[in-house]
Amino acid sequence: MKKLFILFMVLVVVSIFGAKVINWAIYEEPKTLNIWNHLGPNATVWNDYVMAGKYGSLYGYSDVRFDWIPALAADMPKKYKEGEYWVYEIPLRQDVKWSDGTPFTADDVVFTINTVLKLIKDYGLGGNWASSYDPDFVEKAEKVDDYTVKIYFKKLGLAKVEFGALMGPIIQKKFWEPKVEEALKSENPLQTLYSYEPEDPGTGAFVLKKWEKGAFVENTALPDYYDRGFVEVLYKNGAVELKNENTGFHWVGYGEPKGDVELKVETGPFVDSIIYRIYKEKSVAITAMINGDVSFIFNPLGLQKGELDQLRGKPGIKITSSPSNGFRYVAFNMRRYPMNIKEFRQAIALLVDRDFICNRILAGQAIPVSTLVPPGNVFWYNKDVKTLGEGMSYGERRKKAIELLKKAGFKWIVEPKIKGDKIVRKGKGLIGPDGRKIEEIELLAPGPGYDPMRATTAIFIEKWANELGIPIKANLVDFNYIVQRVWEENFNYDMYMLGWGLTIFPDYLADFFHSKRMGPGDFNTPGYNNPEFDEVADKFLEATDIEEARKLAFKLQEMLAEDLPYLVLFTTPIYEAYRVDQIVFPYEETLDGLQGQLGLPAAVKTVE
Amino acid sequence: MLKYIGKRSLQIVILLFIYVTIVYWIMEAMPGNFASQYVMNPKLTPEIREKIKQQFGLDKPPFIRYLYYMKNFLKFDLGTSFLYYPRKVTDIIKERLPRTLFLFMTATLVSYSVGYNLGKRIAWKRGKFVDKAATFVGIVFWTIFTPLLAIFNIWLFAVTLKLLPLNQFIEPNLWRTAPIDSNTVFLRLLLTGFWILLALLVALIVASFQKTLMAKRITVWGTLTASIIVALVLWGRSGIGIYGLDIVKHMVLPILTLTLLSFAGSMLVMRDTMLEIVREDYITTAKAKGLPDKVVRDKHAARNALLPLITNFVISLGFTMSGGIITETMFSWPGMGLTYLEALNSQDIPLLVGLLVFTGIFVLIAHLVADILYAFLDPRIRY
Repeated sequence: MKKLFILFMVLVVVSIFGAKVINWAIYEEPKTLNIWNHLGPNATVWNDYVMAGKYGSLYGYSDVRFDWIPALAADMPKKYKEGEYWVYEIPLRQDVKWSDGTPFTADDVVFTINTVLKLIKDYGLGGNWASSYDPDFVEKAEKVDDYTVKIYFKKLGLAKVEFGALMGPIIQKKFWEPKVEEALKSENPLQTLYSYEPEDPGTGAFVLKKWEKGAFVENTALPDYYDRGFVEVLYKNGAVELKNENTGFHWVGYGEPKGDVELKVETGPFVDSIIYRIYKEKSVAITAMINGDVSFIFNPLGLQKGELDQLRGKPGIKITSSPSNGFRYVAFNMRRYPMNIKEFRQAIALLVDRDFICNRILAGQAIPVSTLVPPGNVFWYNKDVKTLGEGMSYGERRKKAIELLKKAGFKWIVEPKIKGDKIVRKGKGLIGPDGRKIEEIELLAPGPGYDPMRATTAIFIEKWANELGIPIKANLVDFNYIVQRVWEENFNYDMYMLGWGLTIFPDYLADFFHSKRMGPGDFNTPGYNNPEFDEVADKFLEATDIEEARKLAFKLQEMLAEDLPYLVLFTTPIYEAYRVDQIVFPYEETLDGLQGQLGLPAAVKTVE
Repeated sequence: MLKYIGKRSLQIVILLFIYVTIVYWIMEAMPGNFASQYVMNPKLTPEIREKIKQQFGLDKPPFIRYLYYMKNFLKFDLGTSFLYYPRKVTDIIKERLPRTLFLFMTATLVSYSVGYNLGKRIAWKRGKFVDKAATFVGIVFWTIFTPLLAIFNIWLFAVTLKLLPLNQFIEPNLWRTAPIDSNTVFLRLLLTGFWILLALLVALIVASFQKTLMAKRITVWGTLTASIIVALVLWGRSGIGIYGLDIVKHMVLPILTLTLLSFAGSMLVMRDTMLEIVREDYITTAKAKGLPDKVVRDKHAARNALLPLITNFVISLGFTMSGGIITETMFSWPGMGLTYLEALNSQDIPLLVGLLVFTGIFVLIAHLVADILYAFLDPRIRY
């Protein structure tokens, strides 16, 4: 039996090495691989990793630079008005095939958009479907010919059109039409749709081969993948060239494709299979990587300090660092006194020395940020936005904060006194401009078990504020408790500290601060109400030109840095590691890291 | 006896309803709810989030939700999981239970066997070095920080010595071409285990009617060896033996860890009971009759000291249904314990209550079985 087992294992190993199989680690099992469910109630990043690129969209982002480029579309859309609607006429690539060999046509696009819209309107299909194909914007899709579609929009806006519907997933009509019809006849159509096995074809380079529940998922490469040999070339002059010499597809945009090449990414797939191993314990996954059992670990938060220390210096392992698209922040409840006073918020901002927090307290594990668009999102980041107190010393920050508070009418029973960089007398009994003593201000922050960085920062904010007599009390609580106080209890808070993971297109600037999003349970949690901001935000949401949208986004960032409904604290780099003796990625540093690119399964190569 | 069983069954039903109610309200009392996670997506308007709440029934007041739950519970329906929507809670339990059962039942058996054998030996040599050493080692493992021991075992046996697999319950590179899924193999392994235990039980009953020690030994050991050989042959010829072997290989480390962690409990129970029994007159009589020490220890003392251990063992078997959060996490063994953790973290109330109710039922049944066993094992006890 033992000999038989050894022989079998040898055969397995031989077949593995012959077949270019790579093993990657994930920490959670996907909740579903059914596309309706994944973009509906059961969306998780772990589903995303495993479903990597299965469903194409009409347009997508280029690698690293995030230029908006055609994906299943053959060219940029033609825009014109037809009656009351705006029409986007889109030519489709004629060389695209579904994984079952069926050609991809306009019927698939029309079926997807019209079916999703019907399910949203008639049955309440929600989740990411509703944010991709927002029925307030998208009216319908129509086929012009097999390879041209027209999509009708009620109104325009980059967020909901170019970065919304045109980037939504496309599913196959041949497979899903009978299934949708069957579901619509059932008692609960959405539940029926969510229950189908993930056997449908995709336009990606891999198909699901096996899902061994609790242990692993294996995706196998399509041997006759239609886009094998596809090349994306990014030029330093901003131009993008997409070509596939095997199929004859060629597209050029954003200038002439000449001069130095910034990045060239070729599509394979270059591996035969990818096995996503499920490790429930991070330290064991790290050990598995050191052992050579896995060549890359997916983690949306990246590697933590202890894990980095464990991996650093190990042979065959390379550690990479990428900027992340997210930030941690403090929100002020501007519905409450004294958080509704701009000078008070600015004084708090002056006291919070983000450089000190990031570099001294958090030992370089975080990067200070000054605006709501993190620096990693290069195109939309306004580098001219400065933080209050930048370049000032400890004493100068405090003097300026006292000056601002006084200017707004604040007084103290015992006024704080600053000499040089020292506080010679702590402030006591802060009295507001209305003559009333300021009572305790609660700062809700997650506890050290959930996020030690935020817990530490909250304690420092309390300390610095208390030195000036501002009675802030950091309350380190469970994450869910903060969510409950802020969203469920109709903004029952003074200040809270949380974080956001963001999208490339910064329409969240409007989502978080437009006055129309101030209602109970909505996202303008500070209750920021500035008509001037609303006007710019509306223009930004309605903009159809990307350059115009960029200028408006810059303006929004400046206004928010001045008014401070959020005090943006810091972002964290994403550290990742992979085995250089097993795999090669076409690039390593990108916004949100390689995990943000789902591990580039179609472009990763094995080391020969 | 039948009257007693009937009375206890009724108590169990009442207790179960009280238990479900308490568990349900504890879960409801936690801050936030499952839909809170959608708060983190600013693309979802309050209207869409309200629709999601409606979909999960979270728009209704908690008391109405409780009534719905109890109504379904009476129909043996544990509801639909939020986290794995639209999967039924019973489906999820069906998927995870075999992995947990096989691992934790085996570990419980091994741990109690080790505890029983060590306990009777150290009690017999009370006060000597073996007694002190075994008690000390047992207490050290009993109180050790579980993840630390798990990590140490992984480091020693999987990383340094490379004797055992590092983690997970199967080797993906082997199973990627497997013609069946792991759950089927787990079920067959469980059936094999039950088959061997059943054969052993029958052999023990037959042996109790036999007169000579030799005949008894032949019956018990012969049956055990024969049933193991039959099982191995059947597995070898099934074409899936390699997969069964892979699971068994992956079980060694978690079982070793669980045994080290828990054998002291049964060992000390056995030791203490034995120490009381060795003072009894019948033990002195047996020794005075000139019976060998081993016979007095095993046949006269250990058998009578077994009663509390069996009670503990049967109740532990009931708890094996719940798995173990730390062990399952450390060894990536996704069974009932990890499902608890997942359900708790995401406030999937139907799944969490369903898992607790399911475990509760088995623990209550195990208590009943222990009570009944008492009557069989100790002639002095009558209900």
